[in-house]
Amino acid sequence: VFLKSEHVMEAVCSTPVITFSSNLDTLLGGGIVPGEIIEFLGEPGSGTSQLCLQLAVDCTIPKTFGGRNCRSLLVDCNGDTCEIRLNQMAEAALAHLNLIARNKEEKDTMSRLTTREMLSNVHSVRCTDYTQLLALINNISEECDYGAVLIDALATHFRHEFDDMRQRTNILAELSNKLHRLCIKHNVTLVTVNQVRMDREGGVQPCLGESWSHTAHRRVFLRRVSGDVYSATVMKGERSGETANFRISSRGIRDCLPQTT
Amino acid sequence: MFPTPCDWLLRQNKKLSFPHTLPVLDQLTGGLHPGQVIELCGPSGVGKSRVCWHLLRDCLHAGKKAVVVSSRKILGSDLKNLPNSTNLSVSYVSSVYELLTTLAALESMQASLIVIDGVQSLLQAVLGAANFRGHALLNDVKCAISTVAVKSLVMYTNGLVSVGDGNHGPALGRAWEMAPSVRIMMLKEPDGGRVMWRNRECTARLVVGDLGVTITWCD
Repeated sequence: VFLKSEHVMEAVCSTPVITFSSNLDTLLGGGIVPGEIIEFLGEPGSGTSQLCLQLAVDCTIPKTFGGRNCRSLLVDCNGDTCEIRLNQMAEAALAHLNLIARNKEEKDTMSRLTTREMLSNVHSVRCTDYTQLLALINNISEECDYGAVLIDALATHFRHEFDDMRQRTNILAELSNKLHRLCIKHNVTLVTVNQVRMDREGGVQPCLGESWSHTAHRRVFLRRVSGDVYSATVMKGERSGETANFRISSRGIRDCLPQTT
Repeated sequence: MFPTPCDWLLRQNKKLSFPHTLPVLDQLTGGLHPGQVIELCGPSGVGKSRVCWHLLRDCLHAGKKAVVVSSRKILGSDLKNLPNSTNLSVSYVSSVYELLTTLAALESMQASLIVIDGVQSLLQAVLGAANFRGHALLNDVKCAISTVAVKSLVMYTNGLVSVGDGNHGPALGRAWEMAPSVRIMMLKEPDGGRVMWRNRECTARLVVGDLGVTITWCD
């Protein structure tokens, strides 16, 4: 029933998954860590799906470069996982790693790594309703060889299919328990994407209600600023209230270009 | 349970209480000592878990035993600044039944502080059932918490639910209102500050920082 303290203290030194934007990584305290549930929310077009794709690719970064080198699972509820974009991001990531490889060990690793090998570690599955989502979570709870599970977008199947709100709250509570059990048992990083809706005063509010908001360890609100610049604000967790800007380019998520005066 | 002489209870109380660095919270709750069950209730991200971890740090620095019962994985960000001691026990629970088992197992440990974090989703999952078994289970949990609270300080977190018309109230309903000895409500203000209160006349301000939390009176 009770864990030994060294098992608990292991959580302190765990490899985070980076996002390739150093501002965003600093905001996230280094990246997203194993065992954590992090929720990204935003309006349509605010970069949530792109961030999921980038994180899925970043999980496959080899250990010699400080990455986690694990499999990632993209759970697609909306139908916008684009394999061509994943390939583009993987190629850009590979090019970046080739540039920074210095010592012999790193160069050896890079000579053997190809885009195809990176993408073979990114699995994707399409869920068309909430029962499929629950069944999927049940399946991977038994034996999970994924290091990261990214659910884009969780809110889709819970917003319009329920007449009975009590039933929805129950199912969401159960889903929340299952997701936490998955993270604890298999040390998986979980990324969920939520949507927003209008509230009474005309502002935006996260979907799925107050009870779902307690599920995630951290919540980050994404917003499109202008052009290809996006901003991320932490709503819950470490560095609550802080904001960072990043850019989405053809290579994926990157830092903003320095302003030319 | 046998009747115990009060001076023995008082000595146990002294043995298991620990020095803490939150005097305002002490006054707000009527005392952070064994025998109290304190509920921290508020919206997501207001800092309920931060306050709990601050007290856990104080307890471990004083060399006393502490227990964390949580449904969520404990991350490195919670554990920083914690002394590396064997006095911290952690139990992960993912259902009401596991929670009851853990609470039963706690009776034999002489813990100064018991933190139960993030379990309102477990309890809400049973409450929604059409039969009344949910309420019976909730009662069981209430009794189990009161039993362990005889010897330890119990602190737990609760969330909010909407009660209609856009208002929010504490989760778990009217039946749960009798469970804590003190319920501290917390709220985020529009300017970004956080306040906590027991009744509306007496409010305190909460500031979360890297090294812990600071609580000061609002005036």
